[in-house]
Amino acid sequence: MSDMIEGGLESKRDSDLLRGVLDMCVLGVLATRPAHAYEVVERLRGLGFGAVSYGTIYPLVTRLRRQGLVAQESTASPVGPTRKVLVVTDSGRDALGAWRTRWEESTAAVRRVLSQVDESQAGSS
Amino acid sequence: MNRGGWHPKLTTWVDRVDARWHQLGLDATQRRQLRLELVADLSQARLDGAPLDELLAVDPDRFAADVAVGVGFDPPPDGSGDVAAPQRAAREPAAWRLVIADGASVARVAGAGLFGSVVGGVCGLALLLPAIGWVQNDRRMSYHTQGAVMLVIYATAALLAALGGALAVASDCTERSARRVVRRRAFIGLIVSGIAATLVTVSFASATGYSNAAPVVVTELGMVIGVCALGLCLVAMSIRRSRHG
Repeated sequence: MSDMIEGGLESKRDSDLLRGVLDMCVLGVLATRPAHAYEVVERLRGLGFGAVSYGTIYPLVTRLRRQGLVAQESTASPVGPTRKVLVVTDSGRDALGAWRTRWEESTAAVRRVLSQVDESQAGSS
Repeated sequence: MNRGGWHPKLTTWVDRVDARWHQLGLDATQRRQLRLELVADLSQARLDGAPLDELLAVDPDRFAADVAVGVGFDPPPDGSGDVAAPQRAAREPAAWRLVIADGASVARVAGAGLFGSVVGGVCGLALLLPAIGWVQNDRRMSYHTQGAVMLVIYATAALLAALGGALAVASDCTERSARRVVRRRAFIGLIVSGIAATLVTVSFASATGYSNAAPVVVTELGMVIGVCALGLCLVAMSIRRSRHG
């Protein structure tokens, strides 16, 4: 029973963590190269976000477009019809930069906490 | 699963997403725009090799709710829950809104079909004018032969009118994959309603002694348009029934 509760909490924690970082990771992926929604899914999976799906990314991209952080552009394709891809706007780049600063500060703080844990465990043993 | 192209199952999936948007209360214009964007994105994903089963595995109700939140539709009071969890309970639209929405889409199909039929009919008659002139001026032709040839000419013009109407109705359809079915149904509907309109109008004309008085002609015209519009409405309703179950 407690395993189930812990499993549920872990799953919730994973979900919260993903929710907290995913929009900025989408911006990061698009800042590297414009893409359409499914391509973003594939690239995030390739970078280790195994849990993302089209059902997660498309609504998120819709929100980013509404917020003006991402825009849709048409690009000529050497084969087939014109492609529509998502590109990061100037506001999106600013948001990404600000998030990156906060992320680095937060991870540094977490790292310090974990170092203290490691040190205390090393001292007790 | 086949890769690389649009699949009818995707149309069904998009229909379910659209139906959910409707339930949530998004207006027709917003839904149409969202649907166009979704279809374009899914088509591109398929062209780039997205597996069909993976796309179809996405829960359409949940997806529709998340996209609705994404576009700023009645955002939730808090950000709790799973990343892709529906953020709010569905709000059922009022019955009168559904009736108006259904009525508007049926009326649009009828309007497009009638407009296309008129354009097709006028173009057809213009193309067939030389043939009509030839039949009327050919004195070697017997009365019965002349009548039969004229019947063939008018039937051809009617077919062209129905084709024009069917093309106009299909062009209003957002999904390319569904256009063929819509075109076929509209064509058959226009042919059947055209025959019915002819029978009704000829009976009326016979009863009035084939009068060419303006009120009679206007009534006959109204009968043709009315019966054809009714046929198109039935076609539109049958398409809606088959798509939404």
